[in-house]
Amino acid sequence: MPNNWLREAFIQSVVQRIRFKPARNAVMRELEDHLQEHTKAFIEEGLSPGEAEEKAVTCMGDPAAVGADLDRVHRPRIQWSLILPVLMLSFLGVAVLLNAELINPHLNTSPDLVKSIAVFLAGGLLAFCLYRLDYTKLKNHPWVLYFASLGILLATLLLGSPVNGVKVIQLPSIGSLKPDHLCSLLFVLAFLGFILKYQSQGLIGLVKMGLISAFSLLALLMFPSFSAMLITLLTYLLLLTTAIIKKQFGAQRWPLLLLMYGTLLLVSLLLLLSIDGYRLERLSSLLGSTDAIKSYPQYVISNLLQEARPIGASGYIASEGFSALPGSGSEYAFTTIIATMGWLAGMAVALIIGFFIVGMGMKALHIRTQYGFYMALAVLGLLGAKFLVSILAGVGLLAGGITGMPFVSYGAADCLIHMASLGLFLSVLRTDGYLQESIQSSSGGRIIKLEDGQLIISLHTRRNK
Amino acid sequence: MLDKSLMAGSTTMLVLNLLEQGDMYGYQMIRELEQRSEQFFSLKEGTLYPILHGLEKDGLIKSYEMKTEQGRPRKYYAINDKGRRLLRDKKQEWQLFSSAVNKVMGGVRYAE
Repeated sequence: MPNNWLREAFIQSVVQRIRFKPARNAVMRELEDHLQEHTKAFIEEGLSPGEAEEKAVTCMGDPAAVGADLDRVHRPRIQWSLILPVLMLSFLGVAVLLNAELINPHLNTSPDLVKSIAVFLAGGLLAFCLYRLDYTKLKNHPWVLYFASLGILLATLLLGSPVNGVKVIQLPSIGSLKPDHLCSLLFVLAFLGFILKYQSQGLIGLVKMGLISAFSLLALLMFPSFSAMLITLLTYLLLLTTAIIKKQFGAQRWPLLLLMYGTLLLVSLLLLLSIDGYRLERLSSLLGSTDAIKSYPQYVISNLLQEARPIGASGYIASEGFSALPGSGSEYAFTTIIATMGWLAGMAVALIIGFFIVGMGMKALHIRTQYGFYMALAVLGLLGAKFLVSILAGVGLLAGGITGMPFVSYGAADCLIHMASLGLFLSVLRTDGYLQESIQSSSGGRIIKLEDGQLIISLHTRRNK
Repeated sequence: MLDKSLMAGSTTMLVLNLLEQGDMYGYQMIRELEQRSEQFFSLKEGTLYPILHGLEKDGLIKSYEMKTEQGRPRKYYAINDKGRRLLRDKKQEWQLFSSAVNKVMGGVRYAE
């Protein structure tokens, strides 16, 4: 028997040159298989095991050259198509603050500006840390994430200070922190783990998912944060609809979809019927467009947009002043951009967002691991829903459930959450195809199946020799 | 021995062409390449893997692992639609190139 040290030395010499460590195991397995196969062939030709191994290793060529080529191939690519739009949107957020000060000299946005840049840098660091993190560690702890989120909401309700009717955590020298969107992210991360946990249980699993998600949505609504509830609900629906369409809760996808959306509709109707007239009127005003129930922000937005110019400040600002604009740098960032820079700038922002979201979607579709795919979809859902809601609110089509525009809006906690989400998405792309490659026996089996996060294609009914 | 620069340009086409016949693993591809070219193509075998991994990263081929009879994991490669399209283009390119070279070389012979 050969002592294998030549083979081992060759393989080690190759893989040590691959700097991207997650790629190393698969390369080792592949080279090991190749060298064993070739050594066996040489033995069958009559060489001694030692000679056969030596010859097989020689046939492989220079390990340094092979290692260097593999290093180049496996070096993670920088996802500029995602990073550039984020940088552009973040710079735009700074420009919104600067422009606000130019239009209204009474405003002093310098402290906000410094804070905004500091938070952006901290967010970049957080995104980088999560990019390097093995995100798959999150999938085994859905209950921890779920209860952590509930705990944060409860702790804020019990210990927080009320600001505009909502409890916030006051942090010395940083400011107030509203944790609803952090909890939304945690709930969604937990939801991903629950999908993997309950998918094999079919209808029962789906019912469990429904109960778990309903309770989390109720907790966000009671907090109260209609915006976090709405964003979380949209993301849950995206994830669960995809999982059902991909037949992960069983083959009966249309009945399951009907059941899911039917239950959602029924619960929504029951909720609407159970609330009193005043609350119903308030709720209808969230989507309201009639003048009678138009909210003050909607009234201002409609004036600002009606007098918007292609480039430069809206005529309404000149006559009424900048202070008439509500939530200028945060919730109504999109309105502010159109009102202060012109509707061409607004269209440019919408285009950048479209490019970013479509880019994320295209990349998500090519992700091979099941958990990675759902993680990418979750981030896409969270950010996409926020962009959608902030644009709808920004043009006055939605008066409630408003939320900051990711990467543009001013706000420390939101900025960190959005950057963290981006970091998770990039982490999925970085490690996709390298994590948990599953192996199955070459005999029998279905042609295509999803096993432990890996798409297994078994076209081999014949032996490959 | 074949000029390396000639070989380098054609390996992508040869690899994709092999995979168009069916899914294969690395060692099997080396042997197929040798047999079909009657030992004319004899690669340094390790150089095949950066090519395969690069093609996979570019989305032209897919890979999956299966266990051998000895229980060893073996990585197979399969061509996909994008790879087939590239192969078709490369083949056309090659035919144009080789026919042009033949015309020139043939012309030289006639002149003699």
